[in-house]
Amino acid sequence: MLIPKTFLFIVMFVFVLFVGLFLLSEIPVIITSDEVFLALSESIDESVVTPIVNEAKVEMLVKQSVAKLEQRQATRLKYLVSAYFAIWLIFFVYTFWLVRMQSELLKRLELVEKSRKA
Amino acid sequence: MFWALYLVFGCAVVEETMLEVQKIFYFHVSSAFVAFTAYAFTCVCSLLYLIRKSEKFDALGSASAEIGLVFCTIVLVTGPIWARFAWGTWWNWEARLTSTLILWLMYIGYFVLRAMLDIDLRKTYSSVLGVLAFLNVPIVYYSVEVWQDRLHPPTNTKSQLPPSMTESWLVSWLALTLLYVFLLILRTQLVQMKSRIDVLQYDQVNR
Repeated sequence: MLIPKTFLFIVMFVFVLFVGLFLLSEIPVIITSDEVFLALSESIDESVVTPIVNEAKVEMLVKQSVAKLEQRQATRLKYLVSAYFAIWLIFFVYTFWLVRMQSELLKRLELVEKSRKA
Repeated sequence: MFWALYLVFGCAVVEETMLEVQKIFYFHVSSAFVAFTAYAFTCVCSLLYLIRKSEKFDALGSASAEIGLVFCTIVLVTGPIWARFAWGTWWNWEARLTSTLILWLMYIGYFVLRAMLDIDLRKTYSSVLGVLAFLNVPIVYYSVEVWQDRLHPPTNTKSQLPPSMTESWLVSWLALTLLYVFLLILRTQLVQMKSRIDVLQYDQVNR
């Protein structure tokens, strides 16, 4: 009965695939109009109270807004990845425990059969 | 499982308030439902064991309780991650969270009881606890309505989800249910194997 070992391998494979895809792929920036408005208004609030007068200022504000959006997305992705990492870690630990238990039981069975024959 | 992950990360629309963090929902809620299913199965097997005294039902019931505990642990781990982002705190003594923690502790108690008692007493008492602990499942499910806590959504929220979210959630639920069935078969085989070895050793000692 080698199923737990195979299953452990599958769990590991899915986990590595998931983490690998996450690290290698370009994560699409998902933003809503509310998010853009919030980031832009925060950047405007943080700048000088005087009204925007030149293009350089506008460019700086847009850059600040984009940086804020990226920072927020990075935070959100941390939560998402932590949750799925925890789920896979729990499955992995449980499967690993099953594999260990199975190998211990097989050893015990072998010992019992040996002593019965003796 | 691959299909479920593909739907969750590739197809399901991004929710507007929680954005990417909302994707925790698919496995969090599905794990909760699988844990409830596992505990319901434990309850049925425990009842059958108490009526028929068949070893098979005890093995199935304890295996199901163990896997239910694994899924309940997933719920209790992913829940605080969601809560930290949504409510700004890791834990809140709200009705559903508290009742889920009590449910988890009851099944920890189930295994403590099994580890403490002799082989015959263990099966009977743990079966009784397997039936009693299940009574907490409806309390967890309806806790939001009963205690009027509005941190968790009411139980009929799934009908308000857009089709892509509903599909992703249903596939995740199906994937985790199949995983539960697979683990149940595997774990029951190990429990039965252990019992067989115990019997062989007992025979050897008493020969």
